Parts: sequence; structure tokens; C-alpha cells
Amino acid sequence: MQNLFKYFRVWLTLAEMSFAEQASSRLNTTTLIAGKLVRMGFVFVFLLALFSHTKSLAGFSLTQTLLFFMTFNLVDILAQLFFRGIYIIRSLVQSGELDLMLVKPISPLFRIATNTTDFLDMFTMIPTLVILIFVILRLETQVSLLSLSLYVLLVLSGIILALAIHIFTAGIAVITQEVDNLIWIYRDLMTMGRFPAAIYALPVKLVLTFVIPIAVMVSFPAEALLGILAWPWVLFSFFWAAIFLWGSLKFWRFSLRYYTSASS
Amino acid sequence: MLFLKFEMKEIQYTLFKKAWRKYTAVFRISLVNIFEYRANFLVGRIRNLIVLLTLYFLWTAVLPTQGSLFGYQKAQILTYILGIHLLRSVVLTTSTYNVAAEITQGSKFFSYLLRPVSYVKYWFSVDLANKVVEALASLIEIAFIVWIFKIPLFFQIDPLFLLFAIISVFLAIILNFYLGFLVALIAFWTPQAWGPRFLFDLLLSFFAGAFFPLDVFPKTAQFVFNSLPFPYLLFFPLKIYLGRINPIGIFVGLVISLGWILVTYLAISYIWQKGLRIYEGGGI
Repeated sequence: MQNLFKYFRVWLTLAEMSFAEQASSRLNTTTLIAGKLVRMGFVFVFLLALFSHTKSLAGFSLTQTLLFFMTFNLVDILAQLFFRGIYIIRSLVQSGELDLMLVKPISPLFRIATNTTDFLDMFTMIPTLVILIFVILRLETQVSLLSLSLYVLLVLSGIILALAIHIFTAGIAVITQEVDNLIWIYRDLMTMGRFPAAIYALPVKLVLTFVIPIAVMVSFPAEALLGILAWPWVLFSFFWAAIFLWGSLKFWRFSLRYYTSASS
Repeated sequence: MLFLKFEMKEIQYTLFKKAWRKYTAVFRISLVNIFEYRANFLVGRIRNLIVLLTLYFLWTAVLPTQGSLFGYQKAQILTYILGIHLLRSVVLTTSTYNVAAEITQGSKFFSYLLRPVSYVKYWFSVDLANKVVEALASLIEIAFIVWIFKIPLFFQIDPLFLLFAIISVFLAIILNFYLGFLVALIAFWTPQAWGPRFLFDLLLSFFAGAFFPLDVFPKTAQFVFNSLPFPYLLFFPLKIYLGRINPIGIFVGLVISLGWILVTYLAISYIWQKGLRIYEGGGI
């Protein structure tokens, strides 16, 4: 418990520093927040335009499609908010600054991940939650307490999967020191989760379920809320999240063996 | 008199040759630079392919097997999506965001001012190199997707439509470069140029028709969009290629494109002069 408190204090201090940094450049901050909201708005306009000419998208109505989109936003924003620090791992490795994190009496992975807390996403989180609640209330199907609880649990499991993917990326960056855009591939794959996984061809769906489980992170919670996700898939989601987290932590430890502290 | 005229022509030709050599050298160096970072280039291609696949699956999920969507036949809408992918590489690929970074950092930008190079032409040469590589890579990606999914395409056979589509793409390349350069000049006044650029690029993509054809909007909205420079970057050339515009529409569109090129050129000239006057060269 004391350990948990210590970690919370570290996160709070680093988050305060991130906030101060972002608040000092007001023009950038304002336009970035506006950009993120505008981007979300554009997808809304796109979907509205699409549904003005068609009744369903892979069998889902407009409200249901919006549920998928808002769930994508929820998981993506939470991952951005807390794991943004991983994006700078390559520069830490190349400059040798990773040394400073490895010698601190705290998990280096935690220290790297929380190095930057993206508060810009905190601002986009508020409209996301408001719209998500609105969409859930407008769903054609009755939402039971069980499906709502499953939704929350599956979103949490989605965030654990996002964390695991970020850790894998960090490990690859330590080993290769080269892959600059790798995390961006994940980001682009993540955008595939804006829409129901049912629209993709089977091979793509398999990749998005088992290899880079974007569908598990985004589509499964929405499907559970709609009451169309079978129980074996619910159990699979939790199992897969646990496997991914365990595997990523193993891989991180393995990758550290290759860290040569070259530029320090 | 005749001799003087001949001398003038000779001088002009020598100056042109010198300038050509300078900027083709920049073009070549930029090409080498792109292939120096091969892993990053490859990752960039994978990212592009992911975006293309997402759009392809999304559209095929809503496209009816018979009939049309937004007034577009299946082959037309799929050609639009793939055409957008190609035109993004040809038109929207730009390095002008580096201009803002260089102005902010100071020292590198200052060194250009001392060299016998035009800063605008320098970046245009860099842009062209990037465009060539991106366009070739996009063509390969499109061919791959078409081959894998057996996508029906629309081929324009009217040479006039093809000619005007090519002309509009050339104008779009110049217009996009000027727009990007203009926004980058904000760095003379503030080091926080990244956020405004992010917002600008988003607005540009949307109003250029990068997500879907702009003629799905009501007529009034279309009229407003058409008065902006953005639709002439992607939507307008593709509309010509698909033959969904009449000759008068083509003429008006080309005139508006030229008008925006002139406006942005004049704005760059004015803001560049103003910016240089307040530029302090911090960090030199």
C-alpha cells in the first residue's frame, strides 16, 4: 500500500510538470485541443453523411456505430493520457538518458511511461464521456446492468492490452534503437478500431483479434454492451490481456539485456 | 541592338542553368536522404497501407452491390478512394512543416539567408523529391490492393478530362506548397507553430475531400467549400478525372485555383518580408 502511494506521488509530480510545460505554450495547447476535437467532429460528420445514404454499417445502426467510435476514443484517450511517455523511449536509449531511469528506486518502465502525461487528452475526455453516455442512452437495445459492468471491465482489459503493446514497443526500441515510427503503426492500427471489426475481411479480423488485438480492446466492449458478444469471447479478452501483459513484461526485461548505455 | 538582345538571352540562359543545377542538386540530396532512413520509410509505407485498407473496408461495407452511393457507382467511389491515396502522396506530401522548425531554431535558417539560394525554391525542390518517392510507393500499394481484392476501377478515356485532371494536379501541387509555406511562416512570430499546423492540416484534409467526396453535402455548404482553396487540392482533380464536372465547372475551378495560388504567393512575399524584419536569429 505504501508502495502504491509512492508511485502515485511520483505520477502526480510528473503529471504536474507535464501540465506546467503544456500550459506554458498556450497557442500550441489550444490549437492541439481544438484539433483533437475537430478530428473527432469530422468522423461524426463522416458517419452522419454515410448514414444519410445507407441504413447500416455491417449490420450496425448509426447509434451502434457511434458506440464503437466513442469506445475507441475512450480507450485511445486513456492510453494516451497515461502511457504517452513511451513515445520518447527511442531518444532516451540513443542519448543514454535511460541510465538515469534505470538507477532510480522505482520501476523504470513506470518512470518512462509516466514521463509525459498528455493533459490535452484530459480535455477531449470530457466531451467523449458526455457523448458516450448520450449514445448509450439512445441505443435501440435495452442496456442491462450486467452488460454495462462487462463493458467497463472490457474497457479496463483493453487499457491493459494497450499498456502491453506500449511495453512491447519500448522493448523493441531498446533492442533496435532504430524503429522510430513503430508506435505510430500501433496508432494507425488503433484507428481501425474506430469502426466495428465486422467490416473487415476475415484475415484482417484475425490479426486484429489475436496479433495486435485492437478488436479486443475496442470492438469487444461495445459488442458486450450491445449484448452480442458470446461468453467465451468475454473470457478470452481477459485471458488475452493477462497473457499480453505477462509477455510484454518478460520481453521488456529481455530487451534490457541489449541496452548498452552507448551515449551516456 | 540585336547583339545586346543576344547577350541578354545568353545571360538569362546561364542564370537559368545555374539555378537548375542548384535545385536539382537539392532534389538529388533529398532523394538520398529519404533512402538513408530505410526502416522509417518502410514503416511509413505500412502506415499508409493501414489507412488505405481501413478506408477500403469501410467503403465496401456500405457500398451496395447494385446501384450507387452518393450518386457514385461502385467503381467510381473505389477509384475515388484509391485516387485520394495517390493524390495525397502527390499533392499533400510536404516538408514545409520543417520551415517553421528551422525558423524557430535560428542557426540553420540564418545560414540559408547567407547562401545564394531561394529559401522557397529550396523547399519546393525538397518537396518534389518527397513527392516522387511517395507517389511511386503509393502506386505500388494501390496496384497491390487492386490485385489482392480485385477492385473494379473507373478508367477515364476522354483525353480532355485527362488533360485537365493533370493540369489541376499541377496547380494543386503548387497551391498546397504555398499554403504549407504560408502557415509555417507563423514561426516568425511564435515558436509554438506545431499546434496551429496540426489544426490546419486537419481542416485541409477534410475540406480537400480526403475522407469522402464533398458533393455529399448540401449545395450551400458546397458553395462555401468551393470558395476555399482546399477542395482544389484533391476533390477537384478527382472530380475531373471521374468526369463528374462540366467544361464550365472545370474552367471556373482552374481559375479559382490560379486565384488562390496568386493570393498565397502574394501573402508569402508580404509576410516573408515582414517576418525577416522582426527575425532576431535567436540561437545563432
